[in-house]
Amino acid sequence: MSALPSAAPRLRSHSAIPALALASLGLGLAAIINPGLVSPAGLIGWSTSQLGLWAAVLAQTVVLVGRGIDLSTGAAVSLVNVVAIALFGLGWPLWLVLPTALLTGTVIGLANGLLIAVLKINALLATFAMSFVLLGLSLQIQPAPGGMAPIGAVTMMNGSSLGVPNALVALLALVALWQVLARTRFMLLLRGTGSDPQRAFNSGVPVLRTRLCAYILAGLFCGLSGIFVTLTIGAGDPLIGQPYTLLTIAGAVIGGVALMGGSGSGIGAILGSMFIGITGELALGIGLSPFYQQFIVGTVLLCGLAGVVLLRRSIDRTEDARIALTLSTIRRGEAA
Amino acid sequence: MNEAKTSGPIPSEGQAGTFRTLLLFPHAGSFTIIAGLALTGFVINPAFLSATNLWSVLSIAAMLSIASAGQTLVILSGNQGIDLSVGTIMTCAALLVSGIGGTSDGALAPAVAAALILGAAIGLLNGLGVQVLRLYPLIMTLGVSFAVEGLGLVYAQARAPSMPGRFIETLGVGRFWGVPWIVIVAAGLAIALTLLLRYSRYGRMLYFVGSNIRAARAAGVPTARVVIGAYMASGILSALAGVVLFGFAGSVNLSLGAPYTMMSVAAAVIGGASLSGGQGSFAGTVLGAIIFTLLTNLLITLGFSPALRYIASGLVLFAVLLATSRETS
Repeated sequence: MSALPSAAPRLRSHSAIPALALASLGLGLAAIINPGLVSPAGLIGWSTSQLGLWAAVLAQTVVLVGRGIDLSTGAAVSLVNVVAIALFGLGWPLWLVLPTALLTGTVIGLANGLLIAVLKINALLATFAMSFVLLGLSLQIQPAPGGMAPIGAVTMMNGSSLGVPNALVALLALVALWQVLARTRFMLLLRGTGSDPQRAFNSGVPVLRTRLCAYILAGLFCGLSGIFVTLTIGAGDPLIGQPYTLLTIAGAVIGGVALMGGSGSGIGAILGSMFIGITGELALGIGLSPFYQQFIVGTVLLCGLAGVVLLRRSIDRTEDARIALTLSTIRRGEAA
Repeated sequence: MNEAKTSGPIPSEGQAGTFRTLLLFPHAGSFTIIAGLALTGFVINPAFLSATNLWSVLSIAAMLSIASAGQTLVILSGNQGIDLSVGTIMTCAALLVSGIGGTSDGALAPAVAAALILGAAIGLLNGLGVQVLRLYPLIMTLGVSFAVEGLGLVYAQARAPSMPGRFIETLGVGRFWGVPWIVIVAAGLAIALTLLLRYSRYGRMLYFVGSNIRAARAAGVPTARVVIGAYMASGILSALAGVVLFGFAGSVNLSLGAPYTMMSVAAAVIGGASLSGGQGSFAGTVLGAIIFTLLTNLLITLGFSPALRYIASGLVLFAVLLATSRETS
């Protein structure tokens, strides 16, 4: 039965397709309106400003696929950022700071996972409370923006190799990392858990451990995002990640990740957040005053969210209808 | 809220029976926490229970209660209902009143009317998205709040921020026979909403829809209208809260209402509302707001920095969640 719908409609109904279309449309328009964007310097500027978000959206995606949600993503990224800057301030070398930053993110994820998977607190509320704790910790470590990352690492992150911005190289690495992850057994278990926890449990999936691991993995991605933010900006800011929480949820949903869990790809989520990022560039590019920017971005975002969800639903419906039709044809054939 | 009625005969014998009767008193837990917090504050610093401090705590809690009114209705409506546009609607309402009304009371009526209409329109949009497009409330209200925030920015760009007029200022910080007006407004709202939720047809339908939407639909309840109504009411109440906040804060800026979005969720949940809907009451939310405010105030009394206060609020929220909203599945 799995072979019944032919390859073409399956490709068309891939969850990341709307985001791919939106992102390429947006990028194309932006490049036409503001050719400076595709110049080497413009590309570096754009990709470095978005890299942190691209890593953070993967954190949100992992959690969403497991039918969770993470409202502490932004605060976690900020905390990793100020921790890294504080360690640099203490004179720690880069090779020691980076693993510690990753570890910080992982510990945050572990805490979220314990609260949600083990203590069974509602994910929305647990991560919301966690965002308070993390915000407080960040403000305690560094009350105001400041500090400095090693200049060498910062120039490297903001540079380019062979004409390709290093931030885009990092993005490729992220995509590759996701592709490897998507093929693991863990992801299979996570999808099962996300689409129907009860049935997954009944068929022997270690639901608790899978959900715990999802949050730990999300913490790791938050750690990566924090490192990227630190190295692209070169300074610490306890509020730097704040917008990420909502932007990652919106980006993931536009990218085809189902809020009710079970499906979605990291690539789609990255494309979704690219679309959000490019909308802002577009609004600026056509000469709108920055005052109008957020309204335009917000409206487009809303339409994008509604459009993607509705499109998804209608595709599912036609897909179901097609399968039902094919099945009934087969049955009729058997009966004859 | 109905524990006392629904949990059967009350054991009347002995010490344990009295204790259990006490526990059956509505919101016994919340009152215990409030008493505990107040007592702790008093032990640390007797001035904690001074009239000045108590009125200040009650005023801040009243502001939070008014802001959480709409949120409570939406959470009650169930289906993972949550309104993340509360804060931005508050900001926009305050901006609108400041822009139209200015510092005089002359244009007060049209200004407030405009704010309430804006709130109703945004609430309607939320409700339509949730009910007609069937978008998840979290996503719909989040997207709407993005756009509305931008709208506020557009509206605010050409206007210098103004002070509130006399009437709104009185509403926010004035007193009537020693009682802050804002507390009176919150108390009035609490009575009105409690009556609405308990005794009106709409209130009963809201609880029914929130606890079991299929059963409600089967019983002939116009579920779509009830849910859309909850979101619209939330928009209107949030706009009202914005007007009051304008007077309470004494000025308006673009992030004026933002903290109230999540604080309103926290107040409702601490007050016993269940995110799966159909459970909770506005009286509970008011108590939740008082707990949240008392806690913050206590931490200030203890000399905690804002950073440590955030950490402590988060930890306390964990404790409350552990005690109240663990998922059974």
